[in-house]
Amino acid sequence: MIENIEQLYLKGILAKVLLEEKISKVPSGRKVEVKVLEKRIDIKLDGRDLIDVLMKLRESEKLSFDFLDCIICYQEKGNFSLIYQIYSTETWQTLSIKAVLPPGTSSIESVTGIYPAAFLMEQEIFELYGINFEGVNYNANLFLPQGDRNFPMRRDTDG
Amino acid sequence: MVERNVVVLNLASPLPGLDRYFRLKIKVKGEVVEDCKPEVGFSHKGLEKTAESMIPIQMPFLASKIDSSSGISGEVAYSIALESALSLKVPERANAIRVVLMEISRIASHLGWLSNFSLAVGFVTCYHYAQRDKERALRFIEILTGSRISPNFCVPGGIKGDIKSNVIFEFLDFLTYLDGRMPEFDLLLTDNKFFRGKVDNIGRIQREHALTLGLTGPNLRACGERMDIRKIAPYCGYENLNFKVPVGRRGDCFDRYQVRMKEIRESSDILKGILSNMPDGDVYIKPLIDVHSRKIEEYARVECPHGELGIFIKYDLKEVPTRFKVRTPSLVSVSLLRDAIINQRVSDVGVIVSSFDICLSEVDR
Repeated sequence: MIENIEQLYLKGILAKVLLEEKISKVPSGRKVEVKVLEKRIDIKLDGRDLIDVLMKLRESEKLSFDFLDCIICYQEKGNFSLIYQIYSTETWQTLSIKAVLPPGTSSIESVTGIYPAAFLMEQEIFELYGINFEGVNYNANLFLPQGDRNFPMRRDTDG
Repeated sequence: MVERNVVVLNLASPLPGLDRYFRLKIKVKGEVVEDCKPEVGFSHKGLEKTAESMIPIQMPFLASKIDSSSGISGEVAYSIALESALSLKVPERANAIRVVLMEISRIASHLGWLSNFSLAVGFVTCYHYAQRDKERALRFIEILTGSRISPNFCVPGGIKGDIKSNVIFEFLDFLTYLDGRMPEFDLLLTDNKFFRGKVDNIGRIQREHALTLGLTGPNLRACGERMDIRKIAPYCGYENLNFKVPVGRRGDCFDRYQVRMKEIRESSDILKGILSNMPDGDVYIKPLIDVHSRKIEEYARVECPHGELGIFIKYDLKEVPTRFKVRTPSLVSVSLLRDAIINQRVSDVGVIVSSFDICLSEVDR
């Protein structure tokens, strides 16, 4: 039992060596930055390319990043960025995809079609930041009182 | 149009095993649940927003409030994130004591869960036995940290105090006592056909479905997926420890019970190993936490008793974070309740909800 886990972990580390090259090939023609760190791989891309890249990362047999762990949203100088933490359930390799939304916009395509786990995470982000996820209507609030649209985590004033 | 024999029930306080308020609206036809809608957010703390006004030395206190049954997990996750971002090296002894605290918290949390679960199933004797042992486990957290629930003990750079040799001996005595108690629980519950009748094949979750919705921790392992953050992304020296990851097969209430009981035994073994070979040295290096002179963006995750607890921190040349995000496992468990409850009998709802070990303090963070 332990050997299996250890072999899987070692397999993940070995696969990481070749992963950077594979991931770089996935988003053909897109402006994507790939950076391999000690514990994870960071990808930075434009919010409009997110769905294409995620589809390829999930469906590619050699990669199969199929477990969405977390979506993090934050605001930097008024612009929104979303970080998608994704694992491969085969190697448990971590991928951190940072999608930067174009300045002045607060809308991005929903990833619930690719990762159903995103439903709760996107709903929370919509409530707290007012990000509009195209393709899904988040009407009922999860944490705030029903109908509250004040988006308490937004920082539009202090930049 | 009113349907015949259909009743809508609002369950809130009758559900055992929950630490805070939670509403479950179920639609019952005859004796079978047809639809279910969980509602959360009744005790939301606004913890992520509060963090945006706190300096690094205050943050472990806040992080210990994330999980009400294992406060140390949040502290360790925050400390690991900051240490990783600032490339701080923590002394070996500090890491060993962190592991001791996390494992004893896991034992206390699982025993607390066991008491509530056995109450939900209707075994009051086991409730008292589990509470008694949980209190003994919490007593050791109190001896070490001064607090039973939210220790505020683990800080970036190490821990706030050392473990004394006489406490180590008392600790080992407690673990021997606990090992003697585990067959008692087996006798009362695992080998009891009345208990098995109430938990076998109840509230089943498919492994693929659990993975699709992002379930982690003992609830996922009960479905047969051998996923543990301590193995797949080790932290605090877990890579040097030898322990097993218990898994279930069917993903029902019994497997969730069985996985947690086995985890108590594994945690006990980890503790015995680490307490017998405690490394020497300092427990705290006074670190230079210069968060105001650089940009920091880091995500760290630990295996808390309920699953994967992730903390994201972002500092933008200020002493306070611009973003503090917590990924909690119990929120996913709440979203999976619907699949587990539908088509089950209404009398089993309490058992199923309790079997997921939902920590509402985490959900309403």
